[in-house]
Amino acid sequence: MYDVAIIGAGIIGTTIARKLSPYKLRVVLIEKDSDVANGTTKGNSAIIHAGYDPEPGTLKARFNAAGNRLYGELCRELEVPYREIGSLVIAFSEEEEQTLRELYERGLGYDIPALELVDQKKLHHMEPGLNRNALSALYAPTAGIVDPYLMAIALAESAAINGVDIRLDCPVTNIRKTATSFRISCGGSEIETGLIINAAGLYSDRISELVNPPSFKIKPTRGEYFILDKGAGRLARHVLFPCPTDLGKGVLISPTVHGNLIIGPNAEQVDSKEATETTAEGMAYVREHAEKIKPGFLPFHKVITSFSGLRAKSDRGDFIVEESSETPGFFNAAGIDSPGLVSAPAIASYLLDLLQERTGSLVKKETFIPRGKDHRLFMELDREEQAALIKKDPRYGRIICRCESITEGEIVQAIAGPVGARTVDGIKKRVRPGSGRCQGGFCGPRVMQILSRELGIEMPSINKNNPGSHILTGPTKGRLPGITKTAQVKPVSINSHKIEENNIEAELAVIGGGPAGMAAAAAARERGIENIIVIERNHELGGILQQCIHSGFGLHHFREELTGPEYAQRYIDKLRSEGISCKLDTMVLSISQDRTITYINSREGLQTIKAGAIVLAMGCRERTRGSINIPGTRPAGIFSAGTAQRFINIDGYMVGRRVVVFGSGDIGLIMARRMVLEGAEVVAVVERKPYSEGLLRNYVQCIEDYNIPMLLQHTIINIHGRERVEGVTIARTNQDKQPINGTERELSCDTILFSRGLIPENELSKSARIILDPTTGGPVVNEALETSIPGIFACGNVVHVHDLVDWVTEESIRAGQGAAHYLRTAVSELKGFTFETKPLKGINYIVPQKVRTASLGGNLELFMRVKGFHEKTALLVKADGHLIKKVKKKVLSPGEMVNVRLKKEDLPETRFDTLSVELAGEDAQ
Amino acid sequence: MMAGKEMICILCPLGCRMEVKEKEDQPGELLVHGHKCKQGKVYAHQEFYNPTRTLTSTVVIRNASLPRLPVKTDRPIPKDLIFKAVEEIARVEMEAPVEMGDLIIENLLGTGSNVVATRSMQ
Repeated sequence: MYDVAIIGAGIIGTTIARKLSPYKLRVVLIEKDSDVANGTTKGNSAIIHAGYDPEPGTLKARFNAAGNRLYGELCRELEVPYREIGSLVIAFSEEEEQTLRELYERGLGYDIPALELVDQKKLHHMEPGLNRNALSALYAPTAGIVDPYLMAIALAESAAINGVDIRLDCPVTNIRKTATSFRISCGGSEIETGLIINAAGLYSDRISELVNPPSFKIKPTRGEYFILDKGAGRLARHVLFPCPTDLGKGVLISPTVHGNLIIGPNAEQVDSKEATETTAEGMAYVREHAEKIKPGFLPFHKVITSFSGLRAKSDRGDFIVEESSETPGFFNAAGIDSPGLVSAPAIASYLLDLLQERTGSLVKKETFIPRGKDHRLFMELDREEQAALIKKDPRYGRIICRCESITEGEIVQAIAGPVGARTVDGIKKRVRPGSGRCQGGFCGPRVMQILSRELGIEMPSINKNNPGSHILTGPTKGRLPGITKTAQVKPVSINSHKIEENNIEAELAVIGGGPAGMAAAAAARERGIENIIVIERNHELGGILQQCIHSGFGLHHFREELTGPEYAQRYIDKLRSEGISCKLDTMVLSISQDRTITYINSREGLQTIKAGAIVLAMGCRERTRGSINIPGTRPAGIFSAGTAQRFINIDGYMVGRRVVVFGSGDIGLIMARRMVLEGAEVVAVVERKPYSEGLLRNYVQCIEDYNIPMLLQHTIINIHGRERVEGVTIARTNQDKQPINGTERELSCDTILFSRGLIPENELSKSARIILDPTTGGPVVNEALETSIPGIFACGNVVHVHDLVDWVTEESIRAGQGAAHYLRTAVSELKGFTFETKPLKGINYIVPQKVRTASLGGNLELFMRVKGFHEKTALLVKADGHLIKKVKKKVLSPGEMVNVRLKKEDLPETRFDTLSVELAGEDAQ
Repeated sequence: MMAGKEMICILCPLGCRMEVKEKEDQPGELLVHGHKCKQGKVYAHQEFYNPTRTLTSTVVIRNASLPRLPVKTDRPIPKDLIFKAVEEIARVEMEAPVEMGDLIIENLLGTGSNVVATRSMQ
């Protein structure tokens, strides 16, 4: 028997639970989903509104202003990040300026502190990049931003520590009123309680109607959002609103507490309480309206994901916080749409007062523990705290999520204790792996392994979110790999005696132990560099080759056909025999222009190392669904092809049974075959372009061989399925690769693999402010693969995405040699001159971008990609416009890198500035 | 006359598009167009009369650092035996340690091709 049962563990339910937890009450918090903060709380703008906006006389007005005043203190108590960055409501017309004045007056009436009408000059000074037509703004310095789900989780933890029971996966199906109590049927059991607080969000009308006659309806109102990559948060200094209209507050632009930029929402009334899909129209609306505020300023190419949330808007137009007039003891905290997040603490206080009115004054417990876990992220701690944590638990030295730099220790901590994470989304909400630019592509499998180990459940039983959202469909080969028992997979170390060495200096540091890094290190050693260190984030060398178990590698470089692991082993053996030291399981966090590298591992903690030269060989990542903005739901069963490859080939799990592959990149083609060989059905490979993007032989051996339908000039325009993927809508594409109306059709599938291209991973390069080529996404390099910073070289897929590892190796050998030359040669006056390469018509890019004639050996190798598919054509190489070489080509396709080799004699001896390459004739588009 | 066959040579990334047909007067002899090297003609012959593929997969491995061991056929096997071969490979279970090149299945389905480990695992 409980005194109080709270139904719904969103921000309202959790805030109330914690508010009641200091008192001598038996409280239970009941949630239908597998985690707290799983409804509206995880899909909103995350704004702590100042409170000038709601209509006078409403509960919204009362609770918003009061809630804002309580928020900072509440966040401090819980140690949840809160930033009071202030908001600006921006007027673009005299009419809107009138609205601002009304809001200002209204705000003064609510005692909103420090409100200010700012004029145009001040406005543009306060907020760079605004539309020049912005006339003035209402500035509310007390508006803030918070992480809403972290907030709800912290509240739930604190409540649980102070004795509140939390029941998850517990949908309420019936409530019976007896003479003295309520009996709640939920999740197969019955809970008896004296009082009920209905905080069921979107479902609060239905919960109310289990005991009351209908008195209000919740009309779900959908809002769609974009999240932009970390760092983009700097592009808004305040929460930026347009002038409010009858439709609501409008599309806002705001930084998040984690440094991302959030843009949204639109407002669309929908019928279903589950309609959390995104739509092409909604996303277009949001984008268009955001660009009115900051035209041309918002980098939509940095979108990492989009999502939608449903506001629980009541038909009364206001919050409903009251005791039911028909059913004493039943309290509603319902119809909480915006500004619900900020109002929560005030709503909870108000409800506490209502309860005390009914039950008499409540007695406080002897002790109250205000906060649960430490919610500061490891990377936010100071160096000493970090070192102490790693010393205590080495798992804090192992980075699992490379985009957000989240350690294994934090993930273990997120699973432990009250309200611990049980799902992949649960981990993401608590400590953020999967929230970054790779969207869980790299860390997803490792997060699942940790969940499996910590919870003692098999990998295929792990859900993304609610039951039914399993990520894996079973083991390959019909046999489960079993739960990884040890905390650490055995590091396959080369030179283990050197691994523990605490070097503080190295002649050459190579970042990345994949094919590029290994080849560069080996080449530098061949040129006499002794003190080389290779830093690798994985537990073994080889990089992505270890999961590429197919053959076709090495035909050029080794003149024999090898599989990925075999190719990797050749270089692993080479590094071993050369005695080159490697730091495995080690993540580089930053590099600086003076070539100081900061890295972390569980053996040494955080360390810095000074290198004479650096080779960047971090490889690339896959483009995600989020970054291409495919509308639809966000169920389990959506993978990038490389992630699926890892699950199947390394971990031994199948990712699905009926598969649609989107994009015909090599990994997609390889994985289509791999899925078929492991017993799955590949429904189709969907490609927007009129040709297959991957290598021809992959098309032949993976698609033709297995009669897999390839739908050229098609695209996916919608994804269906609530927990697991149920299907996709596809449509034909026009010449601009855009869907053609009326050609839509459905494909049923349980899995979607994205193979939509690779992006060089240059976050470290950016940390050293290395100049990047916007086309390749990699550093601008010269003929020796040296970047814009002397002594920092780059090679492999971090420079530009290669089609064959053989070319990666050859490029990396040149980089290793270049680094060796740099280290061995005193800076001297270079004879000769420097020219730039320039891609002209039909050519997408050329690497290297710069060439110093003095350091050219015999040949100059230019690597490039063409823009379309061309037969019987020629490449024209011109020096300052004068043709110096014509290279005939039978076939050119964007999927295959083109290599143009120029002899030194081909180049003019006299100085020229630009070496251009273009397609000959009319063929060039 | 036997119908011509269009083929994409897959021996190297050039991916020569070839037209292949049997000589009318000389059965067993092929007319090949579009290849850029001798290998292309050899490939066309092979692909025309006896298409083969190198099969790569994984097998279950116990007591190793990872749960699956990558394997391959050490020479190509007839294309139409691929699915049978996959079934054979799925039956195997290895115990660590395994060295790269270790024999996993000898003479797979009588093809004369062996399944071998493509990496070492402890």
